[in-house]
Amino acid sequence: MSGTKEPVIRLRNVGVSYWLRQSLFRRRKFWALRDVSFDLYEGDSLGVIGKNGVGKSTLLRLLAGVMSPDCGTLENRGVSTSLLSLNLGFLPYLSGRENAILGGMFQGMSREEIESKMDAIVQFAELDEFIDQPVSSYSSGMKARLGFAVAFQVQPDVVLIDEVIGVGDADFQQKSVAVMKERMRAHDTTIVFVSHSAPLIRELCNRAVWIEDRVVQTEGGAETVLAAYDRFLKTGEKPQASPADPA
Amino acid sequence: MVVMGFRHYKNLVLHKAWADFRAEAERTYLGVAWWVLDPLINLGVYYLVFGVIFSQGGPDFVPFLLVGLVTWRFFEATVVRASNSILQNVSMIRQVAFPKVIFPLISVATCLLEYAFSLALLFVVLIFYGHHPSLSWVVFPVLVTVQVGLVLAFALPLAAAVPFVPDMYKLVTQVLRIMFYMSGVFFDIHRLSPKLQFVLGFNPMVHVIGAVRAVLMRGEWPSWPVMAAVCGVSALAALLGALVIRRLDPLFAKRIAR
Repeated sequence: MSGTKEPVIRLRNVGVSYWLRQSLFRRRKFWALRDVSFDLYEGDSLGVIGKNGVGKSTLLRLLAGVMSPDCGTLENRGVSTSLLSLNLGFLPYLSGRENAILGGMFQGMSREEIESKMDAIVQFAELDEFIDQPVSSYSSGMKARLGFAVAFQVQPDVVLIDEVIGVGDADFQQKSVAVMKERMRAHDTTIVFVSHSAPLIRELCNRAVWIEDRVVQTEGGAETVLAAYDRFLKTGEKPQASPADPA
Repeated sequence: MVVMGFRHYKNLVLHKAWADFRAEAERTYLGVAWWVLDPLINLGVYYLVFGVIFSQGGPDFVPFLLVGLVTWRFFEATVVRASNSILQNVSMIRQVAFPKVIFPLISVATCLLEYAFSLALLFVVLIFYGHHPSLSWVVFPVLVTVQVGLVLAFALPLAAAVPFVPDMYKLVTQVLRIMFYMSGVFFDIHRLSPKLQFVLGFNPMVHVIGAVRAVLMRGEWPSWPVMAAVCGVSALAALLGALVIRRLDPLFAKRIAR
């Protein structure tokens, strides 16, 4: 699939920095990502692996367009991207139905569109009559299921997923993974999936990027990258600095 | 699938404002009744202090005071709420890309809904005190528009600044308190010396409250040149605020509240 087409999103030496305030007049620059380059092709499912705190979430925010790079370039060839977000500002005193409408609207759907998909949302979230109860009466699992069910109805060109499949109980996790896989097969959806779980990436992704120390270590086929990552976890050995290698 | 555009954001602002309004009503047992009780209790307190203890005002003091309080409360509540609106939604801002200006606009729309209840109370009290609707009441919607413009003039620049300098929020509440005492809510500005009137005239709320009293209580037209001036300056400040918010757009998500 990839290789024959132009990438839909292209990152070259991208870095993102935050300012950390140390005292009233002193602040320190902190690089959450330093040197990230890779291409995302249509139909790709790209896994981003790395330990916690290596800038994976920042990378997703970058791709979602909520942040812009402080150095390097990010080219988006006109594709819509959206983070699969689970709790987009739920208002606890309103019903699940109303929160679903609000959450969907914040993610770019029109009210009519969400309402037409409400049955699917309720069914998928397994909420039944609870959909008309205030969200304050929901368990955290119910909230997460509602969040996923709504976010799943938003169908951007590129879906960005931040470990969210790891919420809810085991059954719901399996169900989420199953529908994501089905969507990827059926609609040829492009996804970027961030995780520190190698098995999940192996299951969901055909390509992978490994980020360590805020820098892309390797990029390529999921198996190759995960093998390098495994070796690193066991021996602490990093690969030789390899030029970006489009799969 | 993903529709983004002016119409979508307009619907989002209206829908979210309505949801926020109802969520706030659901939070208490008395619900929407609080939007009437709040100004009523406020009126009672100020009437007790200035009307009874300091024997100010005169026979028309209750409607005089209520016009001031209701007009002021809309201004204050909206500016405070909108100033904090972008900072408060930073977790949502980190997830979805959209124009951040919608947050202060949602605050303004929510407060307008609450304002409607205070106005209902105000009209009842005005009529009860013999201020029957006159022809001049038709320009009241124009005055509400001026108020919204004035609110935006404060709210948009502050909403842009507060995420980066949260201390501004503390400052806002203090500055608003000073403005309140100098707005002529519980005293008639025209009884002061011309020099003092001139100085207090730099507070736009003096003119807004004065205009609402002229229109609703005395059946007079507001001073159009003054209203135009308030509008013009407000529009400039609001536009500047909106531009700053747009300019800072990619930085809000980075702003870590720590």
